[in-house]
Amino acid sequence: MAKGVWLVAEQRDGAFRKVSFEIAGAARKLADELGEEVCAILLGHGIEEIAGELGKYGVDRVYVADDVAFEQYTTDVYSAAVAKLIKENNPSILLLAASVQGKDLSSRLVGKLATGMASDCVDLKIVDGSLVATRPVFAGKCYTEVTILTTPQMASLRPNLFPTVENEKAAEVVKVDPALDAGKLKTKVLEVQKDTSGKVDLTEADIIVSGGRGMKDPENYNIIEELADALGATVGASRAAVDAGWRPQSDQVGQTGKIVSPNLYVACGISGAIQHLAGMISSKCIVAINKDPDAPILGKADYGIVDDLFKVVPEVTKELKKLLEKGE
Amino acid sequence: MLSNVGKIFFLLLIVSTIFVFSKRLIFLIRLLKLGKPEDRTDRFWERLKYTLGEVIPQRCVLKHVVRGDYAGIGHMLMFYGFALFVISYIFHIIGGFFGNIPALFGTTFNNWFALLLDIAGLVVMAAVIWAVNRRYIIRPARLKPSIDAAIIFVLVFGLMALNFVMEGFRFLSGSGHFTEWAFVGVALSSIFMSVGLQEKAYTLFHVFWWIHIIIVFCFGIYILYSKHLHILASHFNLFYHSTKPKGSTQPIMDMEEAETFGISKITEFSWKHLLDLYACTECGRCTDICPASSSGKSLKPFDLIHNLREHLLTSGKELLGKREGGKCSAMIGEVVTEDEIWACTNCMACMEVCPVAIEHIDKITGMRQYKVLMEADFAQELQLTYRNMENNSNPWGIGSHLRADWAKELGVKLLSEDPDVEYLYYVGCSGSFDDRGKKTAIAFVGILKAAGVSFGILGTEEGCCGDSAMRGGNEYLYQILAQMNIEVMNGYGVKKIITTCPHGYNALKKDYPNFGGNYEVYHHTEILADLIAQGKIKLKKPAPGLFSYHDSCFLGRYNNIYDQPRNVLKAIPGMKLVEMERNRNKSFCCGAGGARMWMEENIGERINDMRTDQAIEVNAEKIAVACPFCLTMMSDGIKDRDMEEKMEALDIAEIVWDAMDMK
Repeated sequence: MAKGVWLVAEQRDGAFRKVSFEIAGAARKLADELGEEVCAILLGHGIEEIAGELGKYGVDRVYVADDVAFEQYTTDVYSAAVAKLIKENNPSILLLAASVQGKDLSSRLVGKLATGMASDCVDLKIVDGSLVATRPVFAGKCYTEVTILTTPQMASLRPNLFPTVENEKAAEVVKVDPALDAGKLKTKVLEVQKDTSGKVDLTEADIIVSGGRGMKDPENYNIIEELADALGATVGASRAAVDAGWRPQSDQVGQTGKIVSPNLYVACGISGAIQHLAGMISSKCIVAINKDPDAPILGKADYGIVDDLFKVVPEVTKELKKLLEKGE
Repeated sequence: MLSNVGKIFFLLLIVSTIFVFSKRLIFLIRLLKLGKPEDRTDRFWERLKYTLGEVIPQRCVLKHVVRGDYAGIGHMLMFYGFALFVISYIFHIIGGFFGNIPALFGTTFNNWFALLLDIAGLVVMAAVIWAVNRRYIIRPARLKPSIDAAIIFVLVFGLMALNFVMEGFRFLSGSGHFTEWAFVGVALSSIFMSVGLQEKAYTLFHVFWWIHIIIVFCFGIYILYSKHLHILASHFNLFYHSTKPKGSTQPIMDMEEAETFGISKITEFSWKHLLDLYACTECGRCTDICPASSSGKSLKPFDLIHNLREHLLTSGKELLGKREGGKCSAMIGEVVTEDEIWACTNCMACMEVCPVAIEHIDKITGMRQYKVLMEADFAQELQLTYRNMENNSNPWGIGSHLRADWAKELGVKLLSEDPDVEYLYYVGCSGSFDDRGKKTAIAFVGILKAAGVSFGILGTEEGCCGDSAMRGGNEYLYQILAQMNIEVMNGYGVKKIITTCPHGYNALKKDYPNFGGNYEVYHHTEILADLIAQGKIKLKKPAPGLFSYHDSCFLGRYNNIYDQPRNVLKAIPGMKLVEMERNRNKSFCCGAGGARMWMEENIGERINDMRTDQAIEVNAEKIAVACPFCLTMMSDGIKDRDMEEKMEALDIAEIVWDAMDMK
């Protein structure tokens, strides 16, 4: 009888990715309902000491495979190792992140384990002892609930959705050696080239502060940048600002630029032509600052400030900084 | 008449000329046959009438004179002059064996023919001097000073001159029939006499006779090797012109079975598209008028055609060697660059201005289809647009369930509530989703209600018309969208449709019939013009400011709707209307057609900014438009030029609604 809620934790350069804690939280909830244990698989090199950290987020036991072979993610190495552990331990549920790595890994695992999976899930629950996963279909217009008839019941979880749960228990760390057959591995990472700009890419940013034509001059972007710094945000721009040559094309948000969906989008001096809206309308919270009360963006914003952005933005930045100082 | 030895030589000359000429001609025809089949043999008399109507009165080139392009007059002079000379050459050749032919028809004929020929000779020489002056001294931007042209000028001028010299010596030597009516020949013979050439006149006549006829033959052969192939090919090209409704596209009808889509090799063009390449006169008018060329993009319609022709001719031997398909160097990327393919706004100015009915847009669409449907290699922005059209049936990807929200409080009937309304108002994506476009839709609905027109909308059952998908090469997506709309419309038994977007208008009117959607389609400016003419709407409030109407390509050139929008504007009290320099069929595109609306314009100048400058030039304060694409592009242009305080772009429906003063 399959038992245990398992998950694959993701780390990069020796630090957990936030989504790992989110899956741990979700796994904890399911395990509590089933009365089972939460076990995590952690693969990497030089990561043994971070393994225990997962305990804080609800994991009971962590299987750590610390080997130079796991230093960089490759589909065949990771999937072989995980599949081996899962086959040996036979858990009832296996959760992964619907991240770039998780999507790649999970699809291979489904094949290796000959089981079913619900991908990109937004909610999980237990009904009659089985996992029921909720996932969006038709570009988010509907949700379907799916259940998986084979074990392990696999699901990948959409990042930034599941809450983390704090748990004072320490996790038991079990070292494992999946003893992979090196001869069967087909890929090897030769080199990793990172984006060195140091900026968070617009499409991945949690918070974006964008400026449009209302900025009037490229010099004025410093007030946008100051606000962005205070918020830990990435700076974006409307097409008009890019066209005017004030901002690089890579900053453009909109139909012909980047499509973004941050938690917070601050639009300063952007009228909100449909080409721009098409690129940011799915943001969770939209704040618009515009002196024109008829600007279409104000109709789409959760919060609108009708005033001169040159007055408002520095004021907001100042107040924000004060709040942050108090907070620390 | 030649001596017997002369006759033999002459016969040999004729035979070898015919041999070389036919060899080349057969080669050219075999190349045409490499193209895909396409039936262009329908409506024979209509085609013939069209061809003669273009060629005989030289309408093909003279039509440009009204817009200050006088080269057509020179062409006409050379055309008629040369036509007469072609007759004379036939006489000349037969005459080599049987003596002076025109004289056989009697003295009157001989006199008149001689007179006309001399006049024609002088006129052609004058026309050549004019053309040389124009091409090499004045140098209009559209013409390239090519070697080809120079050779032809020398040949034509030389032929005329030689004809006169030959005639002079003939008269002086007393051979053939003398006529005083050949005034140039007569004048030259007296000059030759005065310089003492009378003795040698007979010999010189024969020398020049041979030189002259050899050059005539060379000229005939050279035609097949140069841009002057158009002398032959353009007639056929005009004859096989497209008889489909102007601006309609040829759908891919075997979507399910076809193994390749679009055009990646020269042999994938239809034979008519290859004939286009032969017919090109290299006049350059297409490039001259093209908004992509004018704004610094690499697309130059003339170069496109020219390079394809060179490609066809150079790879021709290889192609014929292997018959079926044959080996062929890469076309896209080598002969035609991707930048060229994607720069086209489908404004159709090139086709409108082409004297020989070349079909540029279909070639570009075919190549786009290949890039999209076969290689899936196209701009990222377009990928998003297509995905949005697939998911939500609009290019912005806004939830399709919100499509009818704009009309919620307007009391507009849905066809699902009342399918018996007279008109379906097909709103389109802009009127449904774009806050700016909605203003047009709301104004138009206000007008229709005030005029008591019976109409309804499809609401959320409406879908994207698919024009941008089709013109962007995504025929597959277009056909899905078109079929879904047709299913809904036919389900309600829709007969008459009004659109506020010329793109939907053109697609519904001309392309939907391919899939069983046959409707009477009207653009809102047509309806507005009618309502005003019938006195059903009253325009009371004077329009403020100086207006200029910007012709939408898909309304103007595609559908010949030039007057209705202007008449509507003129009916408004106090209307001050000024035309931009480029208006009506030579109007300058806003830059958004041909799916360009959804792509970044990174190369050269922005087309919409250039058009805005043209409006600024005539001090327009309001740019009146009849298309949501134009509305967006002109509004953006006004912002780019920092003219927001002084100018605005408005749809004609908004202007009318305002003048009705009923808000």
